[in-house]
Amino acid sequence: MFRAVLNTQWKWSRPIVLLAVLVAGYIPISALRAMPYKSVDTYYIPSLYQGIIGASIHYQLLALAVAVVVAIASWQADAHRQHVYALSLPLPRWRFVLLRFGAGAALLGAVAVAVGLFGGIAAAIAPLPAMLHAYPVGLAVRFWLGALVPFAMIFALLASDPKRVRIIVAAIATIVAVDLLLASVGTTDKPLVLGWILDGVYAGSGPLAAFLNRWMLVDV
Amino acid sequence: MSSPPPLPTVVRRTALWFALAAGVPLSAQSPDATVARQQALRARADSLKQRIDSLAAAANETGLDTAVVVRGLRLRTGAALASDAAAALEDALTKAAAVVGEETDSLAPRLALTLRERRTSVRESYSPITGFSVQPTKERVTGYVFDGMYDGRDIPGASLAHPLSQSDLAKSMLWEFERAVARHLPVALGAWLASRVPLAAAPKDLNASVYRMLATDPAAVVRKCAAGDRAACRLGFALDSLPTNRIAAWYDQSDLPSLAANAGDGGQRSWMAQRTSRDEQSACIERAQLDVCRAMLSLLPADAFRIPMPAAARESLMRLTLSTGGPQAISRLRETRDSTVAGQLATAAGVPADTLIDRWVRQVIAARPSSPLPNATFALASLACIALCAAWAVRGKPWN
Repeated sequence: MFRAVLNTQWKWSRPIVLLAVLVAGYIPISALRAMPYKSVDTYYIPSLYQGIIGASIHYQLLALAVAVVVAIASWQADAHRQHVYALSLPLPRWRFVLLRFGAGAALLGAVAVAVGLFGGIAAAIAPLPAMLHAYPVGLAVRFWLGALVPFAMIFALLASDPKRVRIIVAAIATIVAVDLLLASVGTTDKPLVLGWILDGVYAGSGPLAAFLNRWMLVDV
Repeated sequence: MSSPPPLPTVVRRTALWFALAAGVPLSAQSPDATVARQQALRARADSLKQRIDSLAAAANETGLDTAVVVRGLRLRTGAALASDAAAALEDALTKAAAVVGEETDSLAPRLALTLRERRTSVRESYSPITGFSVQPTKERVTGYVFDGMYDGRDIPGASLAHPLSQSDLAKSMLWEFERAVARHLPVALGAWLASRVPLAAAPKDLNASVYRMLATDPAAVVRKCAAGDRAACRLGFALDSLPTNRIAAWYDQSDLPSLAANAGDGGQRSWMAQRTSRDEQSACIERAQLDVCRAMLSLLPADAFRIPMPAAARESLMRLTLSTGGPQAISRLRETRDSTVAGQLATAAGVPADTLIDRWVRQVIAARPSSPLPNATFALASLACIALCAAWAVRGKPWN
């Protein structure tokens, strides 16, 4: 059953996943090839490091983009057909949702493998200085976990009862608006709830904190 | 004695025109009346200036009605902040004493601090863009200003956020104390330390970030130091003296294009740019023609090439010196007559400079960041979030 669901989802997400694999191959090449000065046959480490930091942002954007599109693609066809196909399957709803979730995670895993593989090949070919080392496996794991979090959030939002989603979104929007209003008239010093939300999401070990760190293919 | 330089012609002509224009109405009055009027105006201007000064002084003193004294260090503040300030000061001086020992008691009375509230209010105003009026608000505390003086000379202060956190206040106080200690040391060493002796506990990952900085530094000598080369460390820290040819001593060929693009301050770079053509700049910076780079760099004065070792690395070495030397290290550092930084640090630490450098290099290399694989906390937090979202999705009914 999982293979059938994976096949269906692969069919829907194929263009974006293939494009993501190509981009995953291009990022390390573009980061590593422009580094050596033409008359000097070794890398200039600070420039190389800056290039890798730039590539780190590209990896993050790639993870975010592919996660969002794969999550949307997981449900778009069902939503189009009023969920008739999903409801007609001879398996419980929760199992079907988990299969869809697993298929999405597997597709993101394929992109993460491409990130690690292409990164590893590029780093093996490039004459890296002794002070710097390539970490393609670490990058691939970080990419996969980093992409899975926004994927899971959007997947859950799209798989939920639309009424409940509307209520939750409206409640959060109201709380944030009141929070901003209280801060603007001086009742509170700063928007407190917004601060808590941002801290909760990004700070420390928050679910999106991965996007604040660098995803370095090459590091010290 | 040389005479002052003559004023430019434009200034002299302008002054003449102003004098003529002012002289027309004044010439209608008698000379005595004009002099009396000038004196009255001057007296009025002087009294206004005095009034402004006295008002500014009074405003500076407003709210500083309570003095807190800890170990001879005097801090003036308002009554509402006195207890927090006293506790923070005690905390800061205890931390300082743990590093500099008895020197704390001789330094503290020479430092004077002030902590005042920053009060602001919103005035009523109307925005023609939004069409809304902004309602006035009462004056309220929005922050705190912390200032310091050491031997009557200002030390850079700090702005603190409202509500006041006692730990932030203690940090700021310790920061002032760190600057005071630096002024207590030989001038050259104070400058080498960027005017601050580190007394606060080191950040957890200080040496890891120092390793990263060293390994990716623009100067080859610093990168070699990160690889464990003691001589390169001595050179990069400028522990013995500043080299005569700083470029040759500190940089490799591959560093030159970047150095030509970044060395010196804005004025020096602009001066160099005026004396080189665009083709030459492009040949060096973009095409890495090293002879052109050398010619460009020779246009810069020696002081355009500062000690290449990052300030964080110098801070880290100083921390090791202080911890090796114990509480008496600062006293020995203050009294040493050695003129080199290496000699001064060795005296303070009580071990030869080479031993100190070797220990420091080992410590920094040991702190090298490991693989950037996500740590366990992050992985667990991510997996928990993913599981939570999956559970939420399982309970969903999108066909509703």
